[in-house]
Amino acid sequence: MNAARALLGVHVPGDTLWHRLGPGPKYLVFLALTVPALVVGTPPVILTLLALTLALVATTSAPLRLAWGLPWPLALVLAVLGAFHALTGAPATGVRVVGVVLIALYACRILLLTTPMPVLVDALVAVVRPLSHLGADPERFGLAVAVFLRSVPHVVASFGEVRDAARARGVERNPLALVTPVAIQTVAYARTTGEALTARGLGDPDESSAATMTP
Amino acid sequence: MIRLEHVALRVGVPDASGRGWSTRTLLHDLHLDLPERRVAFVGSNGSGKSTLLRLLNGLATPTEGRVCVDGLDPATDGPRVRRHVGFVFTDPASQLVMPTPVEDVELSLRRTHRDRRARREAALALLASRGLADVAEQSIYDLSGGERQLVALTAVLAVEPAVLVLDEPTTLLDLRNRNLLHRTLAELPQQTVVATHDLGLAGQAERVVVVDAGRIVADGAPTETLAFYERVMA
Repeated sequence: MNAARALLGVHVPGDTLWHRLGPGPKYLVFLALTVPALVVGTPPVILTLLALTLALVATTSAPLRLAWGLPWPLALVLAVLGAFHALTGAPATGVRVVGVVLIALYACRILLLTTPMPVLVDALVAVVRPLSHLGADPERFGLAVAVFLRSVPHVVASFGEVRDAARARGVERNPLALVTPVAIQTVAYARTTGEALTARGLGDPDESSAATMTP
Repeated sequence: MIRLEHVALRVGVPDASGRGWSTRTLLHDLHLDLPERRVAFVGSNGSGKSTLLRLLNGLATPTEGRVCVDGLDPATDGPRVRRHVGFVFTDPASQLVMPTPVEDVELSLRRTHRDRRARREAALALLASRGLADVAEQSIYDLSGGERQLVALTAVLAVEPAVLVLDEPTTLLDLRNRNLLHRTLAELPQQTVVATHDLGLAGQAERVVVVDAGRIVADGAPTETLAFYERVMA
């Protein structure tokens, strides 16, 4: 299932500076790339940040098709969004909307392509741990993020499978024939994933909460 | 020991008119003691064998009666039961959460191994013990069906459950991987309870229970019980 890797990316082992950095600095890089794009948002700033982000993600040692590639549903949506704004006389808005999504996506890939999931989860758990006094469950938070990161590519892959099935039946132009099965598959996937997590006891309260994680 | 005391399970389903709800009984007054180390449930699709298995670690709760696993009630003591009873699903893809086998086994070990390096070493050792060292860091999407099922099994066994429940674990496997899983399960020290259409796997059990329409229709040694099942299904 290549689509599983196609959106956010999965960890690619390597020995680059990115791989040696902890998740904290990489989160800061993510913010440094995305926040100015959101706050300033002018086409020159967006395009500069996008070029910089593309250059940075290319230094992660991941193959370029993983680092730069886009799954077709996202590419299609972004193309439609950009074209709509261009045709309605707001090309700058189009650049901003599409550019911010791409910058966030590629900046996210810098983190995910170079950070093993357990390291990422440990970092999130460590960040949330101070909130455990307020009733937050850090382990559950880390698990939720891990499941989210796993689920997004799965939904993207579902789109591809449903599109192929719709083509085979000659109904690829019917939006309902595309959206309905994906919605049903997504709900079924969420349900089976939830059951599997429950069966493994992964969402259960930790009886040894006094112990601490080693980040 | 696993005990089911007059267990029934009913669910609400839309009635034929589509305007209201009616009750459908999935399991009818089951009473079973399962002290054997290897138990297999067989039955046609929709017979209730998977539902029965789901009672054993609290994924389903009986409407009537009580389930008891080594003194624990899954309905009231879910977290402890889930640490005691491992559950392997038909499709391993649905239960592997992390991108690679080693990371998924590490996830199981988070409670017992707080230090990340020790956790990783333990996960790699567990995978190596199942012959999965070479694929430990591959994407789970690049594994064969048999490898995925063995990874799922390793992740469940990592927390050393006393009882292992497997819901049709060989359904998606080819013959080679099916035989590999047969051998793996035969060597486990845990009590194993399996629901299966794989009569070879059922034949390894000490006791086979045939389920039909939510009722137990045969129960005993594999030779006689499976012969009965094959006659009924003919």
